[in-house]
Amino acid sequence: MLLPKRFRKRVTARISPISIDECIPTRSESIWQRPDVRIAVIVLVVITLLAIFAPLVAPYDPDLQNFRNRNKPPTLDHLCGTDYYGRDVLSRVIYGARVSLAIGFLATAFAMLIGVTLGVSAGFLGGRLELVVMRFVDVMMAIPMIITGLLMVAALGSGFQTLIVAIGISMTPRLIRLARAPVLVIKQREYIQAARALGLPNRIIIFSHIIPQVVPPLIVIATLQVCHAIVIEASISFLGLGIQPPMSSWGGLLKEGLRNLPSAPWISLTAGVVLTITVIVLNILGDALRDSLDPRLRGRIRAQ
Amino acid sequence: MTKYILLRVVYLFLTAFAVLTIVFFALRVLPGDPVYAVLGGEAPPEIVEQTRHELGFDRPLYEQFAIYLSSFIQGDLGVSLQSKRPVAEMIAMMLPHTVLLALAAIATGLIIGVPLGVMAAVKRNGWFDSLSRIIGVSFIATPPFFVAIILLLVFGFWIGAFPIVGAGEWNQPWDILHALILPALALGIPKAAHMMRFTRSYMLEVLNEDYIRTARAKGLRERVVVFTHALKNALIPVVTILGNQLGQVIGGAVLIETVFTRPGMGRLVVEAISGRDFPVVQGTIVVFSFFVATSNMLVDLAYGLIDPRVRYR
Repeated sequence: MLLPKRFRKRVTARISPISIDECIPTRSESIWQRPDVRIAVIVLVVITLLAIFAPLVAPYDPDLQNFRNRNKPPTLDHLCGTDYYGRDVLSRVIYGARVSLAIGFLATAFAMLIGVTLGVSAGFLGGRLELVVMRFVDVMMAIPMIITGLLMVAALGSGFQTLIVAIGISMTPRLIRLARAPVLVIKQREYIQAARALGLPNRIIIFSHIIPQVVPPLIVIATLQVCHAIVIEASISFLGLGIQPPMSSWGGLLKEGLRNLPSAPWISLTAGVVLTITVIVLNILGDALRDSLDPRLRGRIRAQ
Repeated sequence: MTKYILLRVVYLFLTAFAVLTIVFFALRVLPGDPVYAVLGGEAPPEIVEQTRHELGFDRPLYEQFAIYLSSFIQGDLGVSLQSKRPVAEMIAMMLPHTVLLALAAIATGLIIGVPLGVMAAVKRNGWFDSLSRIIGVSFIATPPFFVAIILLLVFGFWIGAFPIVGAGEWNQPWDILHALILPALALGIPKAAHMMRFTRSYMLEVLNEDYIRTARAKGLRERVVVFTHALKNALIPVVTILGNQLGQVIGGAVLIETVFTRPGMGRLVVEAISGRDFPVVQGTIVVFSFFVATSNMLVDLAYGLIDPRVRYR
């Protein structure tokens, strides 16, 4: 089939694997020069520090109840107001950051681990393994991620560790696809054939030739996945199936705030705004990192 | 083309079958006993055993699966463990609400997103473009359920212009529409940001093409160039992302329905999952994935209709 040249690229772009050439930076332009990236990094660092040093930073004990101070609007004493039990909302949001960030990053790491293992072995070994793994991925992709997450939580029970596993599993299919695609390209290279001709076992080829090339770009792509993980955690906790009270989480605060929405809107608003800022910031960073790795996209950015 | 469609339809059913298999076994292999969910934790052992037998949970797994599958093919999705109502009936009641919400959200996304994207591309680097980029970045990442909470608070509670609970009765179209506006906006606004970005970037690509220069050189009005020459081609890639978006919108509907206390598949599945209502979970997830897979297929087929240059293999 003969298509105009520019179109050929676009039609195949949806099915062709990411070529590794496109993932290797060819120009050393720092994404630091973009102001949005700088702001995003600063905000992310601030949120992370707040989460790490929550006991030092939070103005109150997040679980301290004060029934004389229920559903009070923001004042100088309680910058973001208090909730139904008189607990300080700001402190709860700061402590909630620990849960959200930890689950976001750990779930992504978990998904990376399984995704890379299965994706790389499927791509490199091919054959029946690849067929089974990729069909499985296709099927899993037909179920919305949040539903997979909910199903896993229902099966494993709710709690910090199980949430990491549940969210990690629901993110895995995507990462398997992302990990397999470049392997298909790399395994055609001459040095892989050379390594095979030398009689190196698959294990060595995978660990010394494939993984070092596939994983660094994937880690960058994974930053974009962290914000998905955080949103899914918040969603599951919002539905009441995730982190259970009295432990504080952004999703849980949003749920609690929804129940008291007309009388105490500051609960939902504070948690929601912080969640949204975190996700936006991670999104900006992930986008920028991906652009800097993909010269094709970089051209488009420059054109803008 | 016919062969391709047939293949896709076969594939669609295979996907649904695979989802069903995975969900069925996942629910049973993983811990958690539905019998206790039905009876509560305190039930005496002989009643537990009796209920287990009545529900068929004491049979071997493959036998349970065979029984479930044969009735599934006949359209019988089993009976809810909690409400004792047929699952198919529950889904039939809930599905229209969710489908309506998802379609309304996609429509909102297109109606808001595409024109803004075109404007941003045409007035590239102007103030509108910068503003649209900032709005785009902010809204793309905003979780729809937070947008929903804000809309509910402002337009539901403070202004009081829209209902805060429910979805209306089917025989009152006005009520349905009235209750649909806020949820559709909540789901649609983040989608609009997405579509705006896509439209803008593809419009920019197309506006650089030679045939656009030719069209301008012919002396065509800018409006004609932009809308009939450029937009038509720029929309092709936008259509391809619709399938993907529909899947996400359906996932998002789960939360939106909770915020607005609307009936729908999302509420159904959440309640079923927390109550370990296996038949309802199985039924809803299969319908969900069937819906997502169908929309992906329709989009792929539409791609060929919109763009005659695309050939199917």
